[in-house]
Amino acid sequence: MLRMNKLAKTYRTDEVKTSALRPFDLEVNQGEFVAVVGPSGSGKTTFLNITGLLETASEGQYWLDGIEVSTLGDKAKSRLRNEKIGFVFQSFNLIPELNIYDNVEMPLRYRKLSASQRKERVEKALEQVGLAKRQTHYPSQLSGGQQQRVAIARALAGSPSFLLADEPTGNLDSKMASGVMSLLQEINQKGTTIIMVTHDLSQVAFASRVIEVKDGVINDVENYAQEIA
Amino acid sequence: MKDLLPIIKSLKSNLSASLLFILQVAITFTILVNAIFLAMDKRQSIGRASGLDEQNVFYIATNLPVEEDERASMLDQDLANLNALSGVEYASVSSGVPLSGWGRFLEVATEPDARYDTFSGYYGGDLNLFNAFGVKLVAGSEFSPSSELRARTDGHKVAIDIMITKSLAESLYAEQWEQVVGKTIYIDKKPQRVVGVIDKLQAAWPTWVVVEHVILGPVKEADAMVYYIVRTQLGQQSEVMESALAYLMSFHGRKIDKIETFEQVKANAYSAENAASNTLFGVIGGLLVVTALGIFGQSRYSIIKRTKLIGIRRAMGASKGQIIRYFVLENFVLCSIGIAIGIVSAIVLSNAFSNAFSLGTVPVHYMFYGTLCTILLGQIAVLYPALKASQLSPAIATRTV
Repeated sequence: MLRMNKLAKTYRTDEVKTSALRPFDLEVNQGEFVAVVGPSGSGKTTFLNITGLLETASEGQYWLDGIEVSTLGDKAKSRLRNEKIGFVFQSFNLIPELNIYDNVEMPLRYRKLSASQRKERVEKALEQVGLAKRQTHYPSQLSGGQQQRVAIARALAGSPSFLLADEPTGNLDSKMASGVMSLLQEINQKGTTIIMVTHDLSQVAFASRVIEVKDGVINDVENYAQEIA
Repeated sequence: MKDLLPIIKSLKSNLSASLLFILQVAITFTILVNAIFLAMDKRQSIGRASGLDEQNVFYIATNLPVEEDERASMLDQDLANLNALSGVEYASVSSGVPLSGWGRFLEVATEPDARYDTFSGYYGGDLNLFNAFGVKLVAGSEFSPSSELRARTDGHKVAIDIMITKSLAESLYAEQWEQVVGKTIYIDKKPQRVVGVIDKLQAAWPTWVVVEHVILGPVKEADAMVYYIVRTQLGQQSEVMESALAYLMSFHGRKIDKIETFEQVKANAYSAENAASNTLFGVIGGLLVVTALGIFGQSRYSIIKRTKLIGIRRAMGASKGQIIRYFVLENFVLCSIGIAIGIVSAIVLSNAFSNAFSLGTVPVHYMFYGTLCTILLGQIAVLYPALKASQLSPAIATRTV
């Protein structure tokens, strides 16, 4: 479903080349729950941005659902982001001036969907995260955990190929965090692929697979819990 | 257009900035429409035709340097000699010059004992005056050769036949203005018969309300000071002016008070209007630049403030084009609200102006063009900020700020 071949990222500033990610191969299959771990500055965010089509790799190929994305233009990439990827961010990234319903609907507005089709999807997604009754509330009226649930609903509403979560519990206390994690697990069990960047080791247990990024090098870790022990 | 609803919803949360923007557009629109109307009104009065053959007419104000009882014959001699100069079409004497500030005005009534119905300017001269001005006849006939009279001063008191302008005829008889031909009307309470109607001729004062009302009388006045009106053949004006001066100066005691082409007369007459309208256009231009800069600055600021939100929208699948469309549409919505308010206040201001300065109210098509112009201004000013917004990287969304 997601295949990367010799993908690498280097940043160039004033003839200084910085290698952010060394060439790597990676394949993620339907239904996996992948945790991406590593210390800060290791290249996790770069990996996430490239996977989420927010940045372009400097070399290599990247197939998303069979589509080679490294040569696509802005419009096609925007469309792929919209249709294939559900983003969940650390700081929720809800739009404060829109209410919960409008926030979840926002990415759907970039598609050719009728108002009633959008409504159906928004309501179903909010149902899934248990916030169906909060449609007319604004983000500021909700707790952090609830806001992250709204963000998850927004990601789910577009029926993406996979969820891309960036430290989804980084801004939450442990109680809210575990609520969000069990929601993600539940979503994964229903068949949605999840790729989650985290540095919270307790969350690694939820994942079916762990990838480590260290100094720009990406590796699968067979048994993460044992390795750090 | 799918962005319309989110835009309107997000206006509420940016209320003070949005209101400022709207207020700016509304004030600009109000001033713009009224100022352009004022300037165009002035332009129109400058541009309106005098009725004269403007390019080819000049006048000389001079004296008749002889004893009082010889002035009439001196006048006839001058006219004969001026008419004989090469390049001259018609030379004539007149009691005044259109738009020069020098002329006479009279009371006009249709009934003998009535108070006046209106006012009119007056020029009296020999039979050539009609052609020396180069005006056109629209009804009745020109003066018959026998109708020419003489006076020392105040020729209008001795006139029997007169011609009047169409504008004056219309003010007396409205739609039936042509019926004035052959009728007797009362000029300063003296009965005079209208033989013909002149299409257009202006009185001596450009800003006079009834500047288009003129009476022409076939009465030569041989006063101490006379105005010679000379219409030349095309392109002969400067030569004729020289030869006319040479002829006139050949008499001992001759004084030339003034010699001016009609185009100069007209330029002088409207110099204040011209300056005012140019100043107004300058102010309008300045206002537009300031407003464009204001819109530019506000758009830029509001976009920088929303950098993160733009990144989120990009991450969620908005293309560059959709980001540009969002801000362009937002600008359009704000400008439209501003213009709606502006139209109301422009009408209020225009009514206040029209009461204070006896001006017409701003016509509807000014609102239309003002709207078009303001929308265009807004769109141009927002284009660069919107373009910059679209170039923001979607990776902003993953940055934790």
